[in-house]
Amino acid sequence: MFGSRVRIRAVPLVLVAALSVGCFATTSAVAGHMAGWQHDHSKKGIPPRPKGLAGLIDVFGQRCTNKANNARSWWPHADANDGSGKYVQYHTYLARTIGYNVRNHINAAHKDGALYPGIGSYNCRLIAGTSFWSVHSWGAAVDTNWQRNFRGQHFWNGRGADGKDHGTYIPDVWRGAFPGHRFFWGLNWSNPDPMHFQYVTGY
Amino acid sequence: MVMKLVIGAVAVVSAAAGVVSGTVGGVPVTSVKAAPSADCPLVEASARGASRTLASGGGLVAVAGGRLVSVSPARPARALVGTTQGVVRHVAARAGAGTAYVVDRRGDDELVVVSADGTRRFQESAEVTHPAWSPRGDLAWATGDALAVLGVGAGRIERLGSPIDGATMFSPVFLSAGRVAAVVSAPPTAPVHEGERLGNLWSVDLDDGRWRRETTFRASGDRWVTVRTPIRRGGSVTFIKVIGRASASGSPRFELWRLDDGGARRVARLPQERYLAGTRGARLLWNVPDPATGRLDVAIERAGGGLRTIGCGAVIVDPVDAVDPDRAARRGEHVPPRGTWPSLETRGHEGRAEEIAVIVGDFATADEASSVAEAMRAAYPASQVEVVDSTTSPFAIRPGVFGALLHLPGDADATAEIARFRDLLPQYAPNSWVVTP
Repeated sequence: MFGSRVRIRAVPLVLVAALSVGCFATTSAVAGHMAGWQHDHSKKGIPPRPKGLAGLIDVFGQRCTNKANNARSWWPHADANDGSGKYVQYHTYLARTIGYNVRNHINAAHKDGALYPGIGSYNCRLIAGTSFWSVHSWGAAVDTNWQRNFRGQHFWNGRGADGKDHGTYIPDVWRGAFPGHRFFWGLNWSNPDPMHFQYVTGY
Repeated sequence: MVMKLVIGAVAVVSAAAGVVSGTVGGVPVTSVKAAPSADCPLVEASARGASRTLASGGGLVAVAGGRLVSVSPARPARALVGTTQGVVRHVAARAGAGTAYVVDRRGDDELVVVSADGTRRFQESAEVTHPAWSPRGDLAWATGDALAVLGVGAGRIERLGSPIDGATMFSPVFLSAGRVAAVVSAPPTAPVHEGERLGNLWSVDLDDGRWRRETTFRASGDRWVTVRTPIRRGGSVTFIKVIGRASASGSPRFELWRLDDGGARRVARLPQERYLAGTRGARLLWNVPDPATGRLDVAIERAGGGLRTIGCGAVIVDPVDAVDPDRAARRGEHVPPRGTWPSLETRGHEGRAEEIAVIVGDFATADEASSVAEAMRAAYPASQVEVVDSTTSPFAIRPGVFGALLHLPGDADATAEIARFRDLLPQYAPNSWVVTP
């Protein structure tokens, strides 16, 4: 009786120890890839994320303006037509978190191959069939890997341009709280949009 | 291929339990009291008054603060009906016929029709939008890829599929008792994977189900054209045409158009974004977004020109003070536990902001970039300016070209700095961007 309890307790302990070693090894390897680079977690690096249309306008200003597409970065595999690289243009408010944090993060982790056509941000359009303006009209949203993650698809397809399945690596970099970058993921809508990551909630 | 289906109506007469706290004259009145917006004051209507207003269809009814409200130039808006089961939107009232509106829910939606005969609720396994009355009391609405038409006094719904495979239909409007027009929005393409691309008005004969294209607007990859808020006005249809360029800075153009037997023609260019909300006599009613907040005002044309604001709320357009339930977050469903994120680097510096820069490019040669860099040094004598390419700044510039890069202080405000740069060196405004070097 006593002996079996010891065995039951011992199994989780062994598992925890093994997982700890595994996690340490993985983290160490990633840290090696990312040597010399750190996130910018200052308030300018990851600025406050607004809520609702009024908050969106308050932080990003008017839609379809210069400010909404005055920042850019170069992304491999981004072009929806031929899979070549492309500039992605977005609001200057997000210049550091997209151009520095997210772009460096993917590159420093040697995950550029997880990207897949197309990738884009600024796009001044009404949402189809509605009088709502797309968050892309403020340069406050990014679509990524859209040719494998179209609107209406209920899952994330993590196969990248390198042909490997990277799971949810790309969404994990964009979405959620630290260590993500606070973008809201459209896959969480009941009408899912897995390619879509936006820097506002409630709109 | 025209699809015409006739399906029995799924009318649920009277109100659903849990939504309605009382019924007056067959009209549901909820106990829900949405907090009125400070910008859009509301007063409570009596249950009897709410019932009469909706059943008569005679007033101007909009959606504000999550509720149907009666808008009048002479007094504050009166709050009529709300619901806890979704978001109220898209309301159509016709004198003598009644009031129809959509209860938008996550997933299935509901169309509610209030008339002198009581309240009918139509459950739809689709996104329901834009109810519209015919002069004799027929009712049409859109369900995404189809239209639904309920004839006056009829017990069944006629459904008409889209004339274009994969297209979205919305905003139906009766051209006559036997013909309904609607906006048909072309399906996505690989380059234009979402957002409005091309919308045209089509009409369908309710007897034979044949579609006819009424407008011939065209779009290219970047240029988009669409139609919003078509309404019946006399013997014609009046609508808003919106023309935009997706990659350009600057608001899309809004125009007022009319469709009649002679075809579609432009009536006027509009000075700002605005949508139609109905008519009052011969005058048009408008929904005008406030650019500072997005709030929707209701305005009426002045006799001598211009608009007079008479209230606020959304009539045919989408209300901006409520989140579409289909776009509300499902908490945590797609967020795995932290332990499954081992590949994410978690170190970061909290205090100092990372450096940003302004780049001018792209140039085919380093010499061209050098001459621009000289001009930038002259404007910013205390700053570092250098010529870069993709080997030195791989995220700021594409391979094979060169740029002149101005380093900015670590705490620089990107929005302010690019504006200042373009003021100082306006000749580079079209090809300058904020980057991280």
